[in-house]
Amino acid sequence: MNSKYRFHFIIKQIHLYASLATALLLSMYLLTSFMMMYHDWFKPEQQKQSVSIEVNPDEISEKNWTSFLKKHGIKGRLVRENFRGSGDLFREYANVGNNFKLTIFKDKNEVEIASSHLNLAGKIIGFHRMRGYGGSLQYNLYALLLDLVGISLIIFAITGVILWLKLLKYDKIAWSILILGFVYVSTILCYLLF
Amino acid sequence: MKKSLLIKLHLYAGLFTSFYLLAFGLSTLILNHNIDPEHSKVTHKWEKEISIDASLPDLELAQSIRDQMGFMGWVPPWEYKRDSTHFEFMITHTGKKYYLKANTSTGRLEVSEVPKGLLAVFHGLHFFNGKLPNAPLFIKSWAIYQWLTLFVMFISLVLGIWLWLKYSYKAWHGIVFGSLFIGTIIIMILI
Repeated sequence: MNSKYRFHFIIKQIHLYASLATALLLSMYLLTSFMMMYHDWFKPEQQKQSVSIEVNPDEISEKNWTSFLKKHGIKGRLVRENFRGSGDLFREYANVGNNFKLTIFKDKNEVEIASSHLNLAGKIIGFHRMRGYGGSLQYNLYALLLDLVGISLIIFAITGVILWLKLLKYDKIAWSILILGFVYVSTILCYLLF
Repeated sequence: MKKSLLIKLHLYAGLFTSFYLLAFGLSTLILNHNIDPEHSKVTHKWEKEISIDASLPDLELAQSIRDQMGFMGWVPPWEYKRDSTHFEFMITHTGKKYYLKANTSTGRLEVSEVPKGLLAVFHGLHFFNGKLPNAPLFIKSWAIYQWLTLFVMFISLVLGIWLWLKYSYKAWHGIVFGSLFIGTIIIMILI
């Protein structure tokens, strides 16, 4: 295999493997993008409810916090934690389809749990919005997959153009598509920038 | 259909979406790592006399000032501040922010301009749907480009997988990428 052919072969393999590794997530992103663009058709909705529960201080201590979450059906990872002006502790947990906002009152033995639960369309779109490291293993693995998708998208674009240059270097349609795309996106970028 | 034609179609579709793929890829990494790519430095300040109808409610007053200045962008209500003599608000779009302070009795308007920077604009294209108040038609055409890009990306993906299955498939591909596929589904069920 001569070096020119070997280079083309390697680029083709990178292009293929980057796409195969991320095909499922990429398909999900394409589907959910359409769902977000036409959200009136799919009607992602959420059901909200709020309850206040009496607790004893031991029940909500850091030691027993995980049991407390389990007992009250609170799912997801901790996405926000802060102290309100009044000194009440606020914690928010979320996963793809559910969100729980917990207010642990400073001066009362009471916890308020405000939850919202998405319907199926909302849950599917939730995969599109889920991002970032943190939480338990599955969330970190998902974030790792998202990094793979991000890197793969950049690799697709670059290796795809290299492969095109090799295969269809003199194809006028291909050049027209590339130049038009470049001019259009650059014009939009410049107009928004300046 | 001939292999060469399928490859051509896959390449045409890929070339059409290549710039969008770059923007999406970069934006995915920015979002996943919670990076804020926006600049916050005021680069330009100026003043102008305009006509102000102080009797207008906040939203309408902000829109009226924006239209008189010929700015494009949204006027987020949570940025409004008003007292007996001044009205402050912000105009924002994918590429810029303007902080405006209007003297409602004299009509004097102070404008501070904050360009968000190239990376922020590139990232912003992920969310941009072309629906931007006062934007020219070619900016609004982004909605069509976005729709076409997603559609063409889907075709490119299907064609690519078809070409792989038909001409490049190897048993180990099925094992490795099949496992990854199943693993991804399991992770998605668990989150």
